[in-house]
Amino acid sequence: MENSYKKIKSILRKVQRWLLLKAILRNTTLGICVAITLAIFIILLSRIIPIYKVYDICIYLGGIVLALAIVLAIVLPLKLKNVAKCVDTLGLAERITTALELKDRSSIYKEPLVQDAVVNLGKLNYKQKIPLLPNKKILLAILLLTILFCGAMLLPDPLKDKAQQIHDLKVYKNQEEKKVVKAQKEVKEDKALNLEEKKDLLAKLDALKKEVKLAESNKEVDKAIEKTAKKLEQAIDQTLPEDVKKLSETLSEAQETKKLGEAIKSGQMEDIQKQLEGMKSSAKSMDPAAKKSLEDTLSKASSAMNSGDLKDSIDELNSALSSGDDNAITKSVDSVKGAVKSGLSTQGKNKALAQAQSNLQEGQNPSGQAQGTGQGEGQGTGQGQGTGQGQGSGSGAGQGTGQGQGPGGSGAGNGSGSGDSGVTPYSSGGIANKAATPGQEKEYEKVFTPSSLGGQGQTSQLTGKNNGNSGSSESSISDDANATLGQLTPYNQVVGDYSEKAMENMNNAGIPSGMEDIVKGYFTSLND
Amino acid sequence: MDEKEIKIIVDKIKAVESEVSKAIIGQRDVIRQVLIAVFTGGNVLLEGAPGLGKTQLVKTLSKVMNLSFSRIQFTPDLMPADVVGTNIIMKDEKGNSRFEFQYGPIFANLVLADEINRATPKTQSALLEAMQEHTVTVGNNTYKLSEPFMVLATQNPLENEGTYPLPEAQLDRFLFKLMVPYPNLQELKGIIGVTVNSEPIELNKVIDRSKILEIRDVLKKVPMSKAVEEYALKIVLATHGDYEKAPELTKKYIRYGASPRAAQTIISTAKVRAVMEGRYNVAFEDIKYVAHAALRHRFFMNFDAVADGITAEEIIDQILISQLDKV
Repeated sequence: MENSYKKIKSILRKVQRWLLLKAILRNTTLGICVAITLAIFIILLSRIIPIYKVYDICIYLGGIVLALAIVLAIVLPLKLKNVAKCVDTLGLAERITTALELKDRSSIYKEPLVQDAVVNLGKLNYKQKIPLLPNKKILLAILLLTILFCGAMLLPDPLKDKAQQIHDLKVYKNQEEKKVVKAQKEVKEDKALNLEEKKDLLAKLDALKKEVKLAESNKEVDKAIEKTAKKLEQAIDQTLPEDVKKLSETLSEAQETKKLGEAIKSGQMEDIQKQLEGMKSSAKSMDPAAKKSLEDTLSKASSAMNSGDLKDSIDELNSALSSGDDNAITKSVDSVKGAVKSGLSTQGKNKALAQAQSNLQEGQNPSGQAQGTGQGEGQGTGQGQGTGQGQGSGSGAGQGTGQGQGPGGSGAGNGSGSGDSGVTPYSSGGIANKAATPGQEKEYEKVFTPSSLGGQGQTSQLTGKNNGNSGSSESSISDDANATLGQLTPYNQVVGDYSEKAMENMNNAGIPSGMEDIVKGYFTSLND
Repeated sequence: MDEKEIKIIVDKIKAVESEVSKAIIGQRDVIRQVLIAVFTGGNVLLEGAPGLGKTQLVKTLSKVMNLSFSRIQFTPDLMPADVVGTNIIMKDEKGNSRFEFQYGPIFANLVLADEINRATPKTQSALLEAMQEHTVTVGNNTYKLSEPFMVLATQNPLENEGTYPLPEAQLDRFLFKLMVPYPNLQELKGIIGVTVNSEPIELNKVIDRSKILEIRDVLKKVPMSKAVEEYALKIVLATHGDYEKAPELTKKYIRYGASPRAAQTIISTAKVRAVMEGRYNVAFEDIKYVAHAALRHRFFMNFDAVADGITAEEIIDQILISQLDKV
């Protein structure tokens, strides 16, 4: 009886293998059908929606579907019980199923049934009764689908270039987003920044990330990054650190303050404190010559500095030394210590800001990237500044044409307009157009920035007539003899402030979207 | 029991079939189904036009199987006592009177209830106990009928006037309801050849009552796979409109579905059929073969079915197809 069952199982296993082969072939043909259908659908879709590398997608999807179909056939083979059922349908009238079910049961029919099953199963030509070739209808369907697929491939693809552009933009945005994330990470880890500064910086970088995400062209991505980089640059305060540097240099030159100078240079607060304490105690017993020498050194250092707290505290110390007032000396030394500490802290913050800025602009073309083809004409308002002419501003209408080429390419344009003053073809470069020399930060020309006159005075209203245009002007006369009209400020600071204000106003004011680009382009060009 | 013994049984059944076929020309399926009923142990209702050999079939069977036979011609005035028997007053040798039971024609192995639908329901119901319990109760006495016992009833589908359709309870007690078809030309020629042109055929007694009972016991044990059994049960369930997997025709046209007796009938008769086919197991085809005869009188169709001309056969065909997909 056992032998009979072994024979049945052995034959069933052969049938099982045959059925597996059939399942693989069937699934393969079905998989091909599905894959071609999917491919046709995607190709047709690509004619409506831009899809990047549509044929590659078809190949990947087709491959996946086929692989799945084959794997499913292999992973889910028919169990022996199901093979028995299948065999029974081939004219064995449930002999095999019943015989297998009787295996562990006793029945007077068991033996004759199993013998009968073995005989009938042996006679079964399963290879003939279970054809391997898939259904003819499926083969026909594959043929038809292949023809349709070829037809779909021949259809023109007008959206191919657009799809390429969208893909490039996506890649570029991803790349830039990574930079922003890197910068955020570094900001978070930076110990020189306090919590508030970190929060502020991270908020700026978050806003940049959102802008990058929403950007619809590489140019917009660049502008967003440039804008944020500029904000970071503007946040860098070089005055105090430079003063600290100059102080350390000046102090290092004199013998009696050399150690203090070196301590400041090293940036170790403990050493600085120690040296200042030493100075404080020695000042009391210092001979007049040494005192004079110290005063000279401090005066020299003070004169080398620009302005601000450090300069004031040095001056204060100098005065205290001259007066010999111990309390004043103590107070002024503490003041110097505080200013130096503040200077060193600002230096750390500056480094962090500079690092974040450099992370953002890493790999970017300093001259900017331009994209787009075509020619255009437009009208707009503009403000201009002239070199060597002090200051000028005005409004006017102008017409201009411009051409641009490829990312990082060149651009050219010209324009003319009428107005009271200052139409500057910004694409041709301006005041800030000084290229940075390798290894050095870009140096900006200084421009005059007016400040309000000091004091109160008489105010008169003047009305004038010019070229038929009437207008009014306001002037004030100051009594303050020391009043200054303004000072020379680095160009980038002035433009930075203007740019920032302009960008903020643009978000609030209802400016036509076409004009926004013009305004943005103008301010961007000012920085080139 | 080994293969040889089973083979002997199969040969015996085939011999009976072959012997009966000598006297009954054609009607192969009817003969086979009647034999299935005999070896299963159930009653058969034969429906067909007069002259198709129904009575002849029963007579032949009794001869070939060496069984006692009685025929009851059902008429409207037939009384239950005429069927089951009655107590009559008898005088003994001393002159004393006493009741003695006079056995009715029901006391036979094969009872032919000819034109059963012509008798009144009272008389028809006199058969109920005999058909189901194989006993007869008269007064306070119950008499056991000799085994094998089976009733083969006939009814004429043409003359419905003055007839009493069988009640549902009685119909359910018939294992099979067989439709006796009209013979084709070839069969008709054979009938004429046998009955008119030649001498009456001598029939051999192939089997006796003890062998029949023995074969019945053996046939009950024929194995059936779970899938086949499930199929049989689902077929019966599918005659009920509230069964979720019932086909549309069932839901639309069946008023009452088949009782669990239908399931018993299908499974037990399919086992006999399998052996008659030379197999030692029941197959789907056996179930399909017996399903029509076992079900056609067990469910009742609504008026829509009559109006739309839907027959029980159509419904059973759809049930057989629909439930095979669900196994």
